Amino acid sequence: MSNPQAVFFDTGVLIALCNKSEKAIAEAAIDQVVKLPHASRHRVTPSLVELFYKLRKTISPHDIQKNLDYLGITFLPVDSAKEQGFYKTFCDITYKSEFDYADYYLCRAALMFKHSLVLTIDRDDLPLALRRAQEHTGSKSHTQLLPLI
Amino acid sequence: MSQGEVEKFEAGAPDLKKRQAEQEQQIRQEVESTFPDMGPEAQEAIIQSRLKILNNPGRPTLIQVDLGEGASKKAKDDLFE
Repeated sequence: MSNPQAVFFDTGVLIALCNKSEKAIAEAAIDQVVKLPHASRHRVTPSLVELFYKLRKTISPHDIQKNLDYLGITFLPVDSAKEQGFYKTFCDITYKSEFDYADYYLCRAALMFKHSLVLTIDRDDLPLALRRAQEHTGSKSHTQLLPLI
Repeated sequence: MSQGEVEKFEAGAPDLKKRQAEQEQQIRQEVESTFPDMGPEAQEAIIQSRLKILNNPGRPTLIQVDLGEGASKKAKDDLFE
């Protein structure tokens, strides 16, 4: 695989970056991104909703933002037409008890790049979401999922 | 810092600013040519990320609180309880 153009962070990894008790995951994520100084780093809307919900009352949004800034992780906006497309295909191709919209959205956002890398701790739902997204859209983009644990 | 060191530092500042402006311009051109199909906001997010990486190389020290073991795995379960 060519060098990724972008690295995405799944919710679990974003949470681990703020959690003293999961330093191993945070360190593994940092180890990966420092190897790829040319690749931009991103988070997307559903990951962010989960992140701020999970960390409410434990760490201030200001400090969460500082952590993301330290790592150069920016919010990647997806235009509303594309987002509507994500939502429609998610409803068309997803069955009960599989992956959720946050997983699917992350995969679709990563597939906007020709080569991308997704840091995650999810070994089940996210791979399925990515497979379905690629099959359904016929995407030629290459997205690699990298489980950190 | 001695007066001499301050003067030397200040003398170098315009060069540093010029170099940073050139690097930013180069990143902007690369992103605009590599991702022509991305919207301007998405392009700007990519540019800003690359600029932050360029200006803060190395390992960051993060602000962390104790959320307990396995907090990252439980995120979604808690959200939809």
